Amino acid sequence: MNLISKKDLLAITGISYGQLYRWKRERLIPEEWFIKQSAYTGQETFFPREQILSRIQSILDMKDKYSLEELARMLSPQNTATSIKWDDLYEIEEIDTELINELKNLTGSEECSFMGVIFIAAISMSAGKLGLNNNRCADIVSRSIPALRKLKGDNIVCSIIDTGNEYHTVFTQGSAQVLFDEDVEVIEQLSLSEIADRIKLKYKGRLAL
Amino acid sequence: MQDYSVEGIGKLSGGEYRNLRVEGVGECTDDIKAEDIRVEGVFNCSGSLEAGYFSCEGVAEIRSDIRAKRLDVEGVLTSRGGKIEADEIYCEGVIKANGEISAEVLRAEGCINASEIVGDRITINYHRTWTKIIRMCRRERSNIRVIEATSIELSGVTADTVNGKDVIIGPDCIIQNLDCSGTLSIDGSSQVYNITGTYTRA
Repeated sequence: MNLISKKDLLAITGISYGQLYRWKRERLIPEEWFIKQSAYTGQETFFPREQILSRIQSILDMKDKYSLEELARMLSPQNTATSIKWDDLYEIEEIDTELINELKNLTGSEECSFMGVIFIAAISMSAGKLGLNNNRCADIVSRSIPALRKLKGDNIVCSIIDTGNEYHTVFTQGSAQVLFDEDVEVIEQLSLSEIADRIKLKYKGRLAL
Repeated sequence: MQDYSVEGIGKLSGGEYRNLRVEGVGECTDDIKAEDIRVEGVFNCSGSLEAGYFSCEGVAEIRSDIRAKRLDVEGVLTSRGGKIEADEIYCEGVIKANGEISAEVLRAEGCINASEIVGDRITINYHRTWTKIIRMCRRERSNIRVIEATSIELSGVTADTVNGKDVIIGPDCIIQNLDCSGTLSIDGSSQVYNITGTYTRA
């Protein structure tokens, strides 16, 4: 995991110790992101780099528009609607409309779990880079839906792996590291929690997020 | 929500109250939440405690998290295993905590023994006096492993690590490692062994 020290974090973002700990008390920054490691000066705190930088940027962007309580409600994974209608997904510009059409036909259900929506947005945004057409994206999503229904909480990462003839997904939560044998290639890692924060903040009030 | 008062010996199984008073000996076996909690006797709680205002003028021991808007300690508050979180903490008595104490503002004139104090403005001025409460601390200085805040003012404190923007080390402190990114002043009677950071001497 790519980590950033607390000192570097404060220097890069320009926030104070007071702000960092205020946001932790308000549950805007999850406690699990404060990773304590021993250092020559005793003990030092590190954070998962991408997640903390993205979270602090979101808070800085939104803190003048919303109270800390409102922000905490928006960013808390516990306070999210459990399912969203497929037709509401057309509002999310990060998701290709053709992909939604494919998924509506493929799954036969009317709703999708919140983490499912986030995964669809994540894979839709990465489709170009991964060379996936909507057909293959829909296939990966439909195979991942049962696992996505079980995912709740923070710090969820999706690894897309290539086993030689098929792409598969592996979902991990927390700081767990998954290692594969050498025939498996990890072609993309998507932080679903980070994407969830961005989508929730962007579409607040427009969708049941 | 109802009010509850323990004047003799009483046992609570947790729950939500408006005002909770403990003037005798009270025990709580689960999480408790109240707008206003005042302990003037002895109170032991094995769950978490959440309050708008929590005042401890007696002796309280909480075995899980304490969360309050304002916390006043004039007696002895012991936190075992949990953390203490408050917007404002004022301590004239003794706080013993083996978890993190996090507050926007912490002002202490009593004694604090804690593993970690973090927040925005931390002021600890511990002058050993011979009042009954402070004698219970039995230490020459407040003892804190890590203190980290935007602005820090200390006297009579022993600490392993002090990290802050503006730091004033007053008299009678022993600090192993200090990192400061703003202004720093150190009283001549205090010992600070390692100083790092881009500070300017005040």
